[in-house]
Amino acid sequence: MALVATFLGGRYSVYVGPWANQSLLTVQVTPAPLATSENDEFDADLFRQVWDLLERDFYGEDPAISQRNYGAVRGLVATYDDPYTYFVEPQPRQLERDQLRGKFGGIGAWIDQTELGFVLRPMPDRPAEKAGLQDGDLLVAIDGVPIDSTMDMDGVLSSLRGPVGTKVCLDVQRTQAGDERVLNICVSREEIETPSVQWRILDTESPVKVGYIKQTFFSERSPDEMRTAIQELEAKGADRFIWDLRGNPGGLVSSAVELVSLWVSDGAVLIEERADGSEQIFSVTGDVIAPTTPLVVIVDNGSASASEIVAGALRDRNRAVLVGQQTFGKGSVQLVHELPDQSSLHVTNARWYTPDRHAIDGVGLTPDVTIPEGMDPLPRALAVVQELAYPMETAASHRP
Amino acid sequence: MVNGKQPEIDTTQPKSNEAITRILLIGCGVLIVAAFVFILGSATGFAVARWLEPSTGAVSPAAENQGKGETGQAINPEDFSIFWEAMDLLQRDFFGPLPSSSEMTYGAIRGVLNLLDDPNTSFLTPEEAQNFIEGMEGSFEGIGATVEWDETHPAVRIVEPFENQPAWNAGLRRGDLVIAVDGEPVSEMADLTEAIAKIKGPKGTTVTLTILRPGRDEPFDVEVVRDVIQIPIVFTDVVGANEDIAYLRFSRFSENSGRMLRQAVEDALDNEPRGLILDLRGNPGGLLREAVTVSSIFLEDKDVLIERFSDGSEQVYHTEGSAAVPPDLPIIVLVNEGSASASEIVAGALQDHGRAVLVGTTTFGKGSVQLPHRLSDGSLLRVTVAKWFTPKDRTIDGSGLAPDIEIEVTAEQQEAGEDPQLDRAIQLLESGQ
Repeated sequence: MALVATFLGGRYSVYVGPWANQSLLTVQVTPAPLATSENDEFDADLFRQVWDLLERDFYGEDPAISQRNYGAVRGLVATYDDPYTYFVEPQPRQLERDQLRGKFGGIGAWIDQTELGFVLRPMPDRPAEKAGLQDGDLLVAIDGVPIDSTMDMDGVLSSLRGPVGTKVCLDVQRTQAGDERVLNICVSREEIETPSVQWRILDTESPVKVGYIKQTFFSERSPDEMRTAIQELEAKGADRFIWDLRGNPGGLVSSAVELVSLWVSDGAVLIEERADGSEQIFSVTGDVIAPTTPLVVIVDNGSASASEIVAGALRDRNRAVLVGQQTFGKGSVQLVHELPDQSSLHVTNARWYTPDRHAIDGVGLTPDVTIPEGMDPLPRALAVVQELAYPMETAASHRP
Repeated sequence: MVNGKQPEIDTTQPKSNEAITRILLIGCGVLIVAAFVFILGSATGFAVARWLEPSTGAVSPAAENQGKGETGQAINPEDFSIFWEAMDLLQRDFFGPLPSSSEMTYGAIRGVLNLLDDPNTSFLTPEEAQNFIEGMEGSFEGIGATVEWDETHPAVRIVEPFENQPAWNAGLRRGDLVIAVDGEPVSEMADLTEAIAKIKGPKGTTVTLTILRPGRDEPFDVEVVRDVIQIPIVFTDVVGANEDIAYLRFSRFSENSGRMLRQAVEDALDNEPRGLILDLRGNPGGLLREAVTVSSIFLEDKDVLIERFSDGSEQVYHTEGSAAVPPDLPIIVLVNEGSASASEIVAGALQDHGRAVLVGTTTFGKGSVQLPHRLSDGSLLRVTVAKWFTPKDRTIDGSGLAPDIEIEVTAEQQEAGEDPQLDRAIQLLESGQ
């Protein structure tokens, strides 16, 4: 991946995603501070005094050193007053990374959190099912560690996941009538993919075949999935497409760039303005496969960041018609720094603009065809895509 | 009256089982901050919860005089490695205005304190600490009420408006919820400290509070003119049909307040009353040492409280000197939900030793002790260092102290100026029960 690089002994990738919350950003450009390895601005002595006094005097449990680090980092991060700059502790971080990668080492089962506890729903032909686990099995223990309904989902998921090829042994209780045995079943973890793209041919009365592609996230695997989707749909005769980005909160910037590159043969995808005042233009990769196929993109107010990059880039070039509602409006980019203990720090590092330098932060993109909230945009999108000229002409690339 | 310090009087340091000089303070977080409102225009409050070092007039310079590395628990700088790395990354990469160095430092400190899950362990910035100290020294500008944070709305609840002070005069009553300050909703404020900062202000200025009152559907606005708040520490009166019952209202356990109360009690006893009423309602506490002094007015050769520290050690506080009140003189202590910490120590000790009958409502329930530390840059760290227990080893933390005779004051009675708790106390003493 082009945008994953080694850095300061840790890996980092650039991605956007509005998971922090829904508030809008108002960010000003300031010159970057000089990089210093000594934290001469921070009053380390004062911090140390507090740390020492608490350790000596506090009535009650002293939190573990790692927790105190995390507490201090969270407190520090809060002073930056930016909802997208935040800290993620090691365990949730692993899950977040799995999501960005689009795959993980796992047993291949859905987990439902119910009043009884955590219940398994094995996926077909995946390790869990093949090892004999059944729909409705209640998790009693993972590798001998008891599981109960008060635990959180992240913790349970983290213990089920692990490197491909390793084993995890589950105590489960059957929950079927007449079968309430407690069984111990060991499962070898395999690579489990989390698809971010689904596709099908839409039923229409006309002979024109429209391919429908729904994308839920921007993971590392999304571009490959999209490529497969386009090729399969074309093989089935589709020559017009609807790309549905409703509710898609974003993900990797690199994934957005590669996705746009499948539909556009040249030009920029986005322009990033960094904290240090530098600017970077991300251009298409040259891997175009559908440069002229008529395209409608459906968006709504849950379409954020990477979704907005895609929609903005396609719209600036007249490469697609946007149908739906105003998008979320997240125009900032975060660096995700992995720290040595597997925790991670998300730092807002840049603002991005569309190729024509439209800023969408706090504003969002207004669709070409606005559909009132609560109304299904798909029939209208279908009508629009069928009316588009074939082949669809892409406007010339502006030189930013 | 309530004035400053008289260092020559109060040389008794609390006996500590540690080598360091400690000033042990009691207070409740809620009410401390509350005190900020009524005490100070600026930021912090008066000595409900912490106090000046009596002999020097300075808050314990704990960080300096507690030898560095003395504990053998000096932190390894590597312990902070994640934190330092995070700070470097933020400083280098963040796009946007950077926080100031003190904001970062205080943010990190508050982040650590948040982990402790103890609202009474808290941090005051140098400015807040300075205001707090000035507040302890005398002039307070505000509206004259103790308040607490109500999470559910959120709103600022009036715990106790002080009689004949601005909040009271403007018609505010116990239990009123402040939902907006000068039109700004409290729900948009970060915490009680921020809300208090907006409520308080210099003498003569006006603040408009939007009030939600239990039992009334619609909120209404109240204008309060801020003033210098004067709360007499001891108020003495005679009550009863024959004016033969001594009534002493004690408003806070500030420095030397115990001596003042003893003097007032001795004066009152000159009239040979048939009984004595000690009114601790709305008294939010103060110095632990003063709680012992006050208890020693009524008890002789008895334990007052047991203090237990985080290292498992404990200290039993005993009465000092001889009691001022003859052992056969009936005493009634009035308490309510505004009676906290040091008030609860005194009421608990008198109740456990069978020396007084408690009349009123269940008390606040603050059973922990904080030690204040002045840090190198002038900020103040209050650390919960101990829990205290009554002589019979009861803890009131979170639960409060139940009165022997429960008497509520309804909103109507309060509005009409009636005091059924005091009436009941007088009736008990007059009937000789």
